[in-house]
Amino acid sequence: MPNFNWDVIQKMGKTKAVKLFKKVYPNLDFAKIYDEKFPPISKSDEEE
Amino acid sequence: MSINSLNCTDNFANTGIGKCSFIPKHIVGEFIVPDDFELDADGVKSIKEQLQEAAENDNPSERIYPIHNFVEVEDNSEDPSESTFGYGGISINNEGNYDLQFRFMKGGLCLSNQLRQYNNNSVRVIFIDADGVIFGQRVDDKLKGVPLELFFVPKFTISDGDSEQAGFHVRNVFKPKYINEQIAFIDTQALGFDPEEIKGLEEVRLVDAGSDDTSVKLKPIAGCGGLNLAEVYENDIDEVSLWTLTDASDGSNVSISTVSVSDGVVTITGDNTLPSRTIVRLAKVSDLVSVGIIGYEAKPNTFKTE
Repeated sequence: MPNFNWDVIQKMGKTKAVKLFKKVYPNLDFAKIYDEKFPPISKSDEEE
Repeated sequence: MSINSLNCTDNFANTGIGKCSFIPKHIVGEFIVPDDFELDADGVKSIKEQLQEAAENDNPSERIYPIHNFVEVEDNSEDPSESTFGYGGISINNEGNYDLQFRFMKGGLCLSNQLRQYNNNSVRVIFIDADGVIFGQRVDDKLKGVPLELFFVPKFTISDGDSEQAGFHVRNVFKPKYINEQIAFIDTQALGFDPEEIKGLEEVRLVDAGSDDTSVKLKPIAGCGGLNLAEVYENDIDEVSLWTLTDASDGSNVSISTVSVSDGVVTITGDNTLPSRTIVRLAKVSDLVSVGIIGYEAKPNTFKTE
């Protein structure tokens, strides 16, 4: 598991980071790791 | 002072001796030190701390460089030059310089080639004797390095296949006054440490291991032994803060998004595809020490990342 620099990754954004890391770490489910670190806000949460 | 008078003073020196005598043993090593480096026996920091910190100084020009394990010395010191007079009698014109050539085996050609970079440079050294006494020039109650007339590491001598191994040598030429009248010495045994504990830094090469436009892949290889620090310090060297990426074309910083270590290879990614040429730097000596990677300094290297 790489050491992540989350400040930089947050600025990159999930889509760009997932695309980049897919090439470097093909066996890493980075989208899942990202969502655990920054849980997506659901529509129901937004409504509340 | 009036005319026709000479300034003729007598020099007297008492010759009583105390219980202890300083009789230097054979020299087993030396520290190459900067011109302004000095050891202060009355300083806040211990002598060991002063030496240790200087050996790990981030700034190479302020660092000391230990050489240990001399195995023999060839004393080619100059004989005093004398004048003899027609009516008889001798006077000494010049007592001649020390000219000492020390031999070392540990470190071999690798250390020899590192030291040859100092050849003919202005160098000061602090000597280490076999009893752990370090000695140099006394200046204002501090111990400074002895300024050398010549520091020279000759090409290694070849084994003839019969008697000797190859020989590696360090030659020091210096004026006698520095370790006679002006000597300063410190007994490290009395201070509870051995100067051999003060080690020199090993140089680390950052070797390309298949970089491309998405990541730098490298092996940090230490010294001539080829030790891969990514194998030895796998869980320390993957700190993002230890690494810096720079775009070689314009010197701009490249943000690092991940660092990982696997199978002895460090992989570093940026925040985008990498520039075509990327300079990689590993952290300075003190930062490496702070994460437990002790005794190394890496030179930056430029990688093709396209």
